[in-house]
This record gives sequence, structure tokens and C-alpha cells, in this order.
Amino acid sequence: MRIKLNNQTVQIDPRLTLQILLREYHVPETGLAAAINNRVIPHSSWSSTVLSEHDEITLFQAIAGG
Amino acid sequence: MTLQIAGKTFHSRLFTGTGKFASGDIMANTIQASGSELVTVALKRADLQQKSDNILRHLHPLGVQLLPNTSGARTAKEAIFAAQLGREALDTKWVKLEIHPDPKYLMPDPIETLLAAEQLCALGFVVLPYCSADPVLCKRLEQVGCAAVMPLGSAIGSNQGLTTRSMLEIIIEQATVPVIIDAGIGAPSHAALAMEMGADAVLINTALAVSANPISMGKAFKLAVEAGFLAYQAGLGLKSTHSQASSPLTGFLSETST
Repeated sequence: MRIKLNNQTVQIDPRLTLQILLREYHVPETGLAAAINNRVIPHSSWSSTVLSEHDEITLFQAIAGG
Repeated sequence: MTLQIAGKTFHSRLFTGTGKFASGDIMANTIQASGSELVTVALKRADLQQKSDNILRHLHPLGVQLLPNTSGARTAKEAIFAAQLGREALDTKWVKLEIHPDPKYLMPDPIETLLAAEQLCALGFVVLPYCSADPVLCKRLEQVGCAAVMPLGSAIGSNQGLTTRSMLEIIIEQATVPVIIDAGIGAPSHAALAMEMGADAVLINTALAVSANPISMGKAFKLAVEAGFLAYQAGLGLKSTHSQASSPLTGFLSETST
């Protein structure tokens, strides 16, 4: 099924969890936040969040700022 | 004397930003020279293709309190979203609430800020709101539960100093939470003045980062904040409209000419 990861369309297996997807992309679990369809998913829920068709996942990280 | 914010003790009353530095190393060395124990960061969409220099690699060894900001948010809803991202990315409930939709002056939207502050405080965040130097707004932010208020000295990055001075004096007089003067402080003398006025802390970014020698400037600001705070604690003399002689007004010169 198709989802979007940081605006990139990606083909994934159904019933994939957010945690497994991010591990496949070597995304570190610390220093990063994830939102699905503009809803923030706490780290504690990554392993139990099953992705759905057309989900839009956005990842955020800390950068320099005042 | 230490500063308490939301149950955390700070030995330095100089807080710093991390923006605009030429490199991560310069940023880290400047923060260290400044003695700052609280440091702001921003958030952006992660770039999975490019491995950009991870700022946390430079900040974690310093042991500072990280304060993610909500810069980029134009509304309360966007700021709350950003705050939740910051909490997850940095494992902290602390947030610098900043909502400034106008890109020219970056003035904080007071209405969206108050709306967001109330909701974020209810959600358990430690909210440090960046706001205009409006005494009424600062009291409202305090009343909804903000851990401090952060009124601006002048426009972000302008280095103009405390153009809002008279309003800041009222805010400082009336506040029952720490007052951290944030934005526009361009020189150590501005920071010293802020502390002499009774501010609890100052937040500096641009003035450090754009200096030809940020590390030295960090030390200069550290000394200025310490000097200003000591002076405030020691008690400043009152201003007078006329002279107050420091030496006795004896006429000894005319007495010897006989």
C-alpha cells in the first residue's frame, strides 16, 4: 500500500508499524518527532501504531534557532 | 543567587539561542563561554536524504536545559503542534512559545500566544512565552499558568537594545513569575541594564552569533549579566536632577590666601 514519508510516496507492506518503517529508513529514535496526518505520535506508541493507506508521515528534528 | 523556573535551578541568568552561528563548534564554545544553562532550539522537517550536522551532538555534552521553540507557527493550533513535536523530539515539557506570522518585524501575535499558552499549560507544558512588552498581556500569561514571561526588548535580531524599557519596568514590577527579557539585546551593556532594572534573566542569540568573536562575546555577556544582577542586588543609587557633591564643599583654597 502507498503512504507518504516526508512528502515522498513510498510503497509499504500492509500492517507495517511506524517503528518498523522508520527502522527500515535508519531513522534514529532519539532527537526526532513523528506525526501522522498532522497528529504527533509519541515515541511510546511507535511500535503499536499500524500504518494505513495514504497516511502522511512527517518527521521533525531539532535545528539551530533562537 | 540562583534562579528558579518550574522547579529547576539555574546558576546563570544568561540564556542563549543557537541560531546564526557559523558552525556547531563555535556555537557550543560560545554557549560554554557564556555559562548559559538554558538554550533554545528550533524544529524543522527532517531531511532523510541528507545527513545534516545534528545540533544535539553539540548540545548534549554541555548538559544544558533544551528549550524547543515554536518558531514558524502562525497560529495557536500550529504552535501547539510544534510544542508537541518538541516534547517528543527532545524529551522535555519545556517550550518557548513564539508565534510571529509577520516576517518583517517578527512581532509576536498576542492573541494566538495567549490562546496557545492556556492550552499548553493545561496539557502540562512548562511554557515560556515570547511576547510583546505589554504589562496586561504578561499578567494574563502568568494567570493562565506560564512559568515565566519573555517580553521583547526590541525586534528579534535588531540589536537595538531595550527600546521597550518603560513597559519592561512595569512588567518587572508587577510580575510574580520570572521575567526573561528576550529579543533585541545587542550588547552586554543592554543585558547589564536589563538586570539592573530587575529582570530575572535575559535571552541572547544574534548579538553572540554575529560577533566577530562569538566566544569572547559570550564571556562579555556573562560578565555583564553578573554585574547587572549584583548591582541590582546591591542597590542602585537614585537619580537626581541636580548635583549631589561627593567631596565636602569647604572653601579651604580661599582660607589660605591671606
